[in-house]
Amino acid sequence: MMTIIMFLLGLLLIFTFGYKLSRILLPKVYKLEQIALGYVLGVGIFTFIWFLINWAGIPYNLTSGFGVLIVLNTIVYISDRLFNKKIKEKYVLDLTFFKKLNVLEKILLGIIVFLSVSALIQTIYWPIRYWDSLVLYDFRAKIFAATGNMQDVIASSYFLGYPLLTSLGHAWVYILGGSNPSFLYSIYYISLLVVIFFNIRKLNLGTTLSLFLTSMVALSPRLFDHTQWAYTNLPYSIYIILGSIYLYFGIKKKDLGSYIISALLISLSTWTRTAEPFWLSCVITAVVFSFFIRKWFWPLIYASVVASIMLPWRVFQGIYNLGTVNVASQVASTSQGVVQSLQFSILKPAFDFVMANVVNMYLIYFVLLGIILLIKLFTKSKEWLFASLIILDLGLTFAGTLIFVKDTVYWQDIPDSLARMVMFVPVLILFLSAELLSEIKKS
Amino acid sequence: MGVAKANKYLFPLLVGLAFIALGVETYTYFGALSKYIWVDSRFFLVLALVSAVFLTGDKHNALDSWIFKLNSIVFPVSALIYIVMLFLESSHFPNYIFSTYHIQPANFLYIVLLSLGLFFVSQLTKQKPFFRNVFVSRCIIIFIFVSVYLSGAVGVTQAVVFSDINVFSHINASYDFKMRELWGEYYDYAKFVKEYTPENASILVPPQKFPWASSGNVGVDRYFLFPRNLANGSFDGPLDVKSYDYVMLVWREWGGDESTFGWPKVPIQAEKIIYFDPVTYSTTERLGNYDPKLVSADKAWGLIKIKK
Repeated sequence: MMTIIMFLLGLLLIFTFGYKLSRILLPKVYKLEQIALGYVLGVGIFTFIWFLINWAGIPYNLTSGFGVLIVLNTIVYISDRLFNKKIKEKYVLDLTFFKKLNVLEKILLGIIVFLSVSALIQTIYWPIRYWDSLVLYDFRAKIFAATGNMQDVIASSYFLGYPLLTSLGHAWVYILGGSNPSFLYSIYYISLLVVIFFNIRKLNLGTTLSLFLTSMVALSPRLFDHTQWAYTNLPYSIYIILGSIYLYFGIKKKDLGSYIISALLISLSTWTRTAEPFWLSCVITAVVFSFFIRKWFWPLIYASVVASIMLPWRVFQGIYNLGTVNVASQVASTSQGVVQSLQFSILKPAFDFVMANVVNMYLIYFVLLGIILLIKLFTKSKEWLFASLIILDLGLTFAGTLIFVKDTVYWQDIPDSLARMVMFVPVLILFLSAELLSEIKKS
Repeated sequence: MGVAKANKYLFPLLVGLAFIALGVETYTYFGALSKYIWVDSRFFLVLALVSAVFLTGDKHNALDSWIFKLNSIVFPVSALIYIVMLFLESSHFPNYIFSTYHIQPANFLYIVLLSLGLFFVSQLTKQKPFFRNVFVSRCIIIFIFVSVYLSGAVGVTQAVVFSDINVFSHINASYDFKMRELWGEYYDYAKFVKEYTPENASILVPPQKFPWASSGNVGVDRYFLFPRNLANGSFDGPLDVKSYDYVMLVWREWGGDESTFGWPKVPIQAEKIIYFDPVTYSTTERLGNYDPKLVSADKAWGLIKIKK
C-alpha cells in the first residue's frame, strides 16, 4: 500500500510542478492545457535537475528524487503566489463543454479518447520490449536504479551518446517501485493531443475543426506506434512540435510566456536527443521574428533558456571526450561540411535518400504542404512564421543527410531512422493547415 | 453546366460506385479491381468524398438528402459489424472471418470509413458558412482527409483495435508470456543462461550476425544478463576460450541460411555442456568436451562450461 502511495505521489509531484510552471508562464489558458503541458515540462525539467545533482555526487534514489521534486514544487508554488495573485479561475474547462458538443464532435472526441485510452492500456499491459529501448534507454535506467550512479554508463561511450531524459524517467518509475515505465510514453501522447487541441482552438477555428485536426494528429503515422516503443523519438517529436507551436503564439501574440515555454520545450528536445539539430530552426526563427516584432531582448532570453539545458549535458559529454561544448563552432563546422558536400556525387544519393524516406513516406502531407505554400504565396499571406519553421526543419533534414552520406559508410542501412527522425513534420503540417484556415476565416 | 451542378449529378453515382467497389474488394482482395481498371477501390472512396465535400455549399436535393439519411444508418451498422468481426476473429483464430464468410475485415474498414466521411460532411453542412463557402478551405479539408486516409490512419485504427482485443483476451498474461511473444525462444534461452551462470561469470556469445542477431548482440544479452561480462566470439575461426567461464551454445534465432546454423563451430575443451530445450524449457547435463558435429545433429541450445 505504501509503495502505491509513493508511486502515485512521485508521479503527481511531476504533474504539480509542471502545472504550476505552465500556470506561471501561461496564466490565461485552460487548466487542462496547463496540466498536459505540465507533464511534458515536468518530466523533462525534473530529470534534468536530478541528473545535475547526481553529477554533483548525490545518488539516484528515492530521497534525491523526492528532494528535487519537493524543491521544484516549492519554487513554483511560491512564484505562482507572487506572480499570479489575480488569476480568476475562469479557465477551467467545465463539463458544459462536453454537453454542448454535437454528434460529429462527440464522434471525433470519441476517436481521440479511444486512441488515448488504448495507448494507455497497451503501455500498462506491455513491458518495455523493443530493441533500442532494451539495449540502451531502459538498460541505463535499470543501472541507475540499481546502483544510484552513472559509473557503468560512463564506462561505455555508446551509453553516453544519448541524453538521459527517458532513461531517468524510467529510473524514477523503477525507484518508485514500478516495474514498467512504458506508460510514460502514452501520457506524452495524450498530453500532445490535449495541448494541440487547445492551441488549435486559439486560432478561432471552432470546436469541430479543432477536434477534427486533433483526431488527425492522433491518427498521424507512427505517432501512436511510438507510444509502444519506448524510444526517444516520441518525446523528442513532442518537444519539437509543441516548442514550434508555442513559438508561433509567442511571436504572434507578443506573449513572453508562450515564448519562454517554447524555449523550455526546445531545450528539453536537446535533453532527449542530440543527434538531430532541429532545435536550431526554432532558435533561428525565434531570433529573426523577435526582431520583426521589435522585441530586441527576447532572442537573448530564448538562447539563454535553450543553452541552460543544452550546455550542461554537452559539458558532461565533453569531460568524457564525447563531442564539443562549443555549439557555435559545431554549427559552423557542420555548415562547412554541408558546403563541402555540395557536389553531385553526394547531392544525388542524399536527395534520393530523403525522397524515399521522408517525402515518399509522408507524400500526401508534402502535397498538402505544397498546396498551403502556394495558397499563401498567391494570397500574399502575412503569416510566414510557421511555414518558415517547417521549411527550415526540412532544410536541416536535407543538410543532415548530406553530412551523413558524406561521413558514414553505412548510411543506406538505416532508412527507418530518418523516417522516425522527421515524424513530427506531418503534425506541423496539420497545424500549418489550421493556421491557414484561420487566416482564410479572418480575411 | 457548372462544376457544382455536375457534381450534384455525379455525387450519387460516385457514392454508389465507391460502396460497390469497396464491397467487391472486401469480398476479394485489395487490388482485385486494379487488374481490370487500373485503380483500386480507394480511388472511388476518395472521389466520393471529394464530391461530398463540394456539395456542402449548396442545398441538398432530395436524392442527396436521402443518401445522407441512409448513410446515417449505414455508419453505425457498418461500424458495429466491423467490431463484431474483430471480436469473432479474436475469439476464434486469425483469418477466421475470411475463411468462414469470405470477407476481409481490413478491407471492410474502408466501408466504415467512407460512411464516417460522408457523415462528417453531412454534419459540416450544418456548420458556419466559412466551411461551406470558401473554396480553399474545402480543398484543405479534403486534402487533410485524403492525407490521413492514405498515410496509414486505417492501419493505425485497425492495429489499435486488434491490439486492444489482444490485450483484453490475455489480460492475466505473465511478463514471460509477453516477452516471449516478441523475442521468441531467445527470451527463454536468456533466462536459462541467467539461471545457470553466476553474476560474475564471463560468457562468450556468438558473433553479431545472422542467424544469431539476438544472442550475438551483446547489448541485448546485457539487458537480460547484467552484470555478467559478455564478449562476441568469431564465426568459425579458433576461439580463445581460456579467459571465459562459459560459451553460449546457440542453434539459431532468425535469418541466415541453414548451412550457418549452430554455434560454436569449433571443438572446445569443456568441463560439461548444459543442454536447454526451448520448447519444454527442460535442461540436461553431459560431462566432457564440445564437438560441433554432435550438437548440430540435435539442433542444440545450451551452455558450455569451460574446463579450467
